[in-house]
Amino acid sequence: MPMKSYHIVILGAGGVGKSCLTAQFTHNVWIEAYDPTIEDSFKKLTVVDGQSLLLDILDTAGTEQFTSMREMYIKSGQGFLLIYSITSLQSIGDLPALHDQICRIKETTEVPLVLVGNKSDLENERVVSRGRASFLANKWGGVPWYESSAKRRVNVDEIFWDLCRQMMRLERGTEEVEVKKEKKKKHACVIL
Amino acid sequence: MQETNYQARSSVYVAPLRVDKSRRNVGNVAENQISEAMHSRNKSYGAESQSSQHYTPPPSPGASQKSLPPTPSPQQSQSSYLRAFYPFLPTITPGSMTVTLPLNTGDVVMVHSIHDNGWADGTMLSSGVRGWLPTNYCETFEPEEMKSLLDASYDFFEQLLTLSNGSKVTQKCVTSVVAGVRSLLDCTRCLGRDAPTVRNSERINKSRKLLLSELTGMINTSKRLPGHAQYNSNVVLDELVSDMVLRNFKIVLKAVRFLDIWHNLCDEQAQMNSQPFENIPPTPPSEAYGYSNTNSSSASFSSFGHTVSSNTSYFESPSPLSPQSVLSEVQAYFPLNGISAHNSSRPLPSTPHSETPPGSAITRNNHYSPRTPAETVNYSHCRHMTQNMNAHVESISAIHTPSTFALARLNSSHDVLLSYLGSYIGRIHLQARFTPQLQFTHQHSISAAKDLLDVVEAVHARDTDATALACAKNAMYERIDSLIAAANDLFASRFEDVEEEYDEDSGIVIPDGGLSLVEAATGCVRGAGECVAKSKFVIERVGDFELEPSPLAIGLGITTDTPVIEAPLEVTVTTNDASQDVPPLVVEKIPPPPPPKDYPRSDSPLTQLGVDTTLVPPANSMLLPPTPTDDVSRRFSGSSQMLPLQQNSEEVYPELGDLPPPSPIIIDGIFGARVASMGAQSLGTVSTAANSIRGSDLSIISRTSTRATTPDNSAGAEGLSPLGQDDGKLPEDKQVEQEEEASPKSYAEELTFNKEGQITGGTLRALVEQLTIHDSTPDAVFTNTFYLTFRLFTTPTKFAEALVDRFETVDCDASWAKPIRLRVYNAFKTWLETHWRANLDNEALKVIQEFANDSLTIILPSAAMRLLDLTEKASQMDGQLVPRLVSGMGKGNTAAASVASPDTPLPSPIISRSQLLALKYTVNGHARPSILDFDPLEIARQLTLKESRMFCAICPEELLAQEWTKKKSNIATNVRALSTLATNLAHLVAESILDLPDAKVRARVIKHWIKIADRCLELNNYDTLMAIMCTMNTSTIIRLKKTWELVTPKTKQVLDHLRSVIDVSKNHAVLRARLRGHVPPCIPFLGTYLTDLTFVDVGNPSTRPTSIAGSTITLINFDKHIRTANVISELQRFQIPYHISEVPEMQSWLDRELDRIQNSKEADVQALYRRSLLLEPRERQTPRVGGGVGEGADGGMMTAPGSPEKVVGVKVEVVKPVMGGKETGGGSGSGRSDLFAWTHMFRTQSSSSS
Repeated sequence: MPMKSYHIVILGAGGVGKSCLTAQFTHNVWIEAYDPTIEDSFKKLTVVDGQSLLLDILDTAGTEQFTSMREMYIKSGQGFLLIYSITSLQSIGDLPALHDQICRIKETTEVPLVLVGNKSDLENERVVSRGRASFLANKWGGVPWYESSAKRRVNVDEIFWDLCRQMMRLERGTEEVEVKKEKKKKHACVIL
Repeated sequence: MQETNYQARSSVYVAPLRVDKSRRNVGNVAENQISEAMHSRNKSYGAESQSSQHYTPPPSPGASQKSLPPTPSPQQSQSSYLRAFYPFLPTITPGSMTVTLPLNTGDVVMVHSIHDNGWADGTMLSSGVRGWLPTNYCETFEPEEMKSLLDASYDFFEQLLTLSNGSKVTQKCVTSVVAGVRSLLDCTRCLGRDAPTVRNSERINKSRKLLLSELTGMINTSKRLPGHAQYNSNVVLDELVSDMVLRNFKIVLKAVRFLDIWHNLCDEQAQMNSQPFENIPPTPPSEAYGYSNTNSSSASFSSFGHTVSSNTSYFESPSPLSPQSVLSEVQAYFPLNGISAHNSSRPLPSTPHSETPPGSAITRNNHYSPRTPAETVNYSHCRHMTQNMNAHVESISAIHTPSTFALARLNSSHDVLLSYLGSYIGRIHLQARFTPQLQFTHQHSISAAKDLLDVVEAVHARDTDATALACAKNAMYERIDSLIAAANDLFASRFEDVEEEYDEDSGIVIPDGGLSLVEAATGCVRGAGECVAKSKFVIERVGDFELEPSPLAIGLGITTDTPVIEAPLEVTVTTNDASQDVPPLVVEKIPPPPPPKDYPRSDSPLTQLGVDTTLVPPANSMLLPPTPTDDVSRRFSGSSQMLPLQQNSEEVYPELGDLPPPSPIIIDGIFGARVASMGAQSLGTVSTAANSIRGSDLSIISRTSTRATTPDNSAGAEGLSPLGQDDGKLPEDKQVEQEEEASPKSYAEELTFNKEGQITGGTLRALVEQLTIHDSTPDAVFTNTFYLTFRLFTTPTKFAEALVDRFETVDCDASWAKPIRLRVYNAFKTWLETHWRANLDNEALKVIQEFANDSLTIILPSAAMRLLDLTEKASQMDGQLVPRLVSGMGKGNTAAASVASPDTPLPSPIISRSQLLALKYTVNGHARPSILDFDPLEIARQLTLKESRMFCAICPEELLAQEWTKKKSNIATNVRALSTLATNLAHLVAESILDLPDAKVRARVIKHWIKIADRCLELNNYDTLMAIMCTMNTSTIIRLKKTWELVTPKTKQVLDHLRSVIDVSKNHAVLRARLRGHVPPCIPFLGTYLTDLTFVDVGNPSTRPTSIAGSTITLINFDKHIRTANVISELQRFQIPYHISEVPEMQSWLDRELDRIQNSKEADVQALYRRSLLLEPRERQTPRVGGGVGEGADGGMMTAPGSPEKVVGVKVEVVKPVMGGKETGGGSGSGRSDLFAWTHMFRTQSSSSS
């Protein structure tokens, strides 16, 4: 089977740890040092449901201030991770605008997308309730929602795999919305 | 290594008239004599098989093979060129597959291979046609004068056709062709426009001009070569390449023509003078004199003598000998060079530094030292090879009259510098080895550069307001600095790696083929050009003026070394300060230098060379008249004070790389100046104003260039002298003793290294130990990284304490105690001087002061004083004591700059007076000008200038630890300013398009912005390009289908190309590849660096565990910091200002526009999108819209809408159907608010403009 290639774009406010998630996911554990400057830094070969996938991950961490660039990044993506930190109310407050922008640019609401609350290890500092996040996820048409911890590597692979499944499904284009929703319900929030 | 090198070289040459057993002959193997295969070229097959089909040579022309001309002996036949001496007209057989070239007498052919039947496969230079030609109609063409050009051209041909889409290769080739032409002009003494040969002969002049214009043509073409492979299409590339090759051929042809004329001329002269002119390659002694005399210019020698003797009778007194006998004496006492001194423990005879012909001034000023017989033998043998170049450079410089006027001085010193750099680059390219000869050229280049800078300084002193000149000047200093650094690096690496294989004559193999050196040298060429251009500008303004004759010895003076080259510097700065306090001259006290053997090798000979300045060899001192004037005495007394120390410590502490061996060495001016100024410091003299201006500039450079490697020499001298004398009595014993001693206590096991030997982790104390390592020079990357990042893994106080620990725990009696302590002192000093961040580091002041007062005072009292002084200054000042150079990270960052156009003046702005007026009027409330009113290039330039200023202002501190993302921090001001600018600009672009009701005009504005973006790309301004392209890629703009229909396909094509450049996929692979090939000035897209830094920061842990002796300890992950520093240094590489003149009116207009956007709430992504929807609604009911708007908008010209109400009115009408067409209630609501916002916007505009 030919290898499929997907473009994933990671979005979220600065300081929510999205680069940690990306680094955790893409970093080959066998390589001691992490070098983000080479072409393959953000490529990841992964197998989802028996299908090999080559993921090209675009994470523009550090350039959140270049707001005008965002649209260009979104254009290049097929699937999106929207990340907030459970320790920052503002970080989740920024997301609806981002979601709107994605939908507008993609001209559809059926965009492969995962909502991720990072820093789940900092339960003591939590300010974003689970209810608020799941409400948002439902409002967006029931997108999958996870809480992850890049630091402890909790739910890191899972969020990417979920996104991959969505992209594959969209590509097949035959899946009914019903099935999708059913599946999504299965994705209850996984907590530590 | 050596063998591969040989192979590579041999591929350059084609033995003429010799069988080439190439694949082409596979078909007729029988013909080939296998035994000859050994000599055939191997590497050029690629070129042939690509460009030539497998032709079969035609049967021998006319005669039988027996009548072939005798083959030239293989030894001397390495030429790749033939020249026809008899015309040949091939009989064309229709249908024949072979291509036979017709020959005319005098045609020059580049030969690729020669068949043994006498036919050669060659390319006709005049037509570029390739085919077979009879060798018996031709002769080998290999004039000595053109050798390097011919070689370079052959290389050029091969490289360009074989592969190489890499621009680096191309650039290297072009550089070497340029060097070849230069060498030809050198050899024929026609380098300068006012060389006598050129002036006297119209024909020479004309052909020289033709040659040079051809060269310029090629350089211009080469600029069009893409920076990397992924350029438009291969077709374009191919065209370019063949264009380049043809142009190169033309150059060779012009050069041949030039040489012919020159030969003719020489023959004529020879007939007149009965003296063969061109047969004097090595410039015999007498010639320099005769030459300058006949020209009745003030002869270089005499002027040189004058230089010195203006204050001293340095040269007039020493000997009543005739010049000739002086020369022979010089020859007899030719000095050792630095390298050989270090290596002379081996039996190899050392090579003299230079093969300068005895006639030139260089040798005359060398220190006289006894030579070993072996050297004497060797001397003559190593002279011949590169002699020509040097000799002619020498003679060229001799020709220039050292005028006293600044302009003339400027020109001539520039010429001299270019000569040296030209031969420098040429040599590196030809040899890719750092030979003593090359080192010689290196040093001369640097002293020539210093000379030029002297003139520039003088000009600058006339007009201190000339900031452009100051910039150019500083850039030049940096470039020289990086050239030195590049050479230093080379030596550093070479001494670490290959200790055994070093061979005096062949020199050091330059690892990357000399690329860094070439880049640095070309950078110097460019820098010099800029300096000269700026200086001329200033001179034009202030008028030419006379310079003091003495400080600026040009011509031969420039090549003078140690004492003399510094004399000028000193003369200008000398006041009455030092000379009075200093005892006259202590020449007698100086012990004779020890025999040149058993010198410890240093890690950086070039540094040593510099320091060597202070050494006054006895022989030389003897020559001095008993009553030297102040400048000489001051210098000499300073150095003689240091002498005992140097000798002692040299023997005892070989690891002190900065202390010079006592061998006399040719030095370069800049280092000399540095040491001189340091010497002055150590004498406790008060600098005069002049001194501080001049000296400080120079010492900044030298200090930075050696900062990482050498402890402060003056302090070392002061501090060590008494100690050195104590235990330096029996140097040899000491040395033995030292070898027997164990090495000092070390924490080296607490370090981890990677495969390349770079430190990747360590404890603080181990890292500090590395920073102050006693037995080698600290690695520059390590040192710079440490100072940049140490606050991330420790506190300033802890670092200071660790340094103090290092100082105190060292065993006092051990021989390494002093070097370590000196290094500790220097670490403090470097920190305070160049890396101090007052707000963070002041907490460590207390520790440092205590240390200086207690421990340091006891051992190095003067160093303690200096340190206290520095802490005093640091506590008062904000920022660095020594202004940091752009290349704060070292490694010759600023080196590279494009080869060509060193002399280009500032491009004049493309803007008319009326446009300027329009810009001015906007302030007074007139209509806002539109971008359409201005030339896209000029807008791109001004935007670039604006960005460049911000970009160059970015400090490394802003980029550490994601500082720029921290909202509360105010460190990263420049990074934020730049990102704000980019965002505002992107919105401005969007707004300027969405502002327009008429689709046609919108299309024009889009086209204009695309042009601007394209010009930005030409200017290597990726940041602005990115900002503009972001907007072009937004759905807000893309969805304006009506508008895009009106954009021409050509513009869309440009847009596609631009899109491919900024493509984000594969981690910005395209962008990164382009940046790698770029030379500054360039503004890279800042975002990639910020992302890289973020990921280096989060992707790498701060610590790394390691197990030592069973227990696990945690090390600082230094690798992470090195990576951070690498990214930062990559960014800093581009922090070089642009060569663009400012249009203040446009700048302020742009500022106002950007401010307006920033303050406008409408410039929000959502709002812009809504406006886009209003202009071209989603529904397909819009044909009316375009037409209606077009009618309503006053013919749609780009100036601000004439009557806002009217336009708005039209808009509202247009909008209504849109609203109706909206799908959701929310959309409608937003539409309404948008509608109002829109009118507001127009109102604000009109109110602001009226």
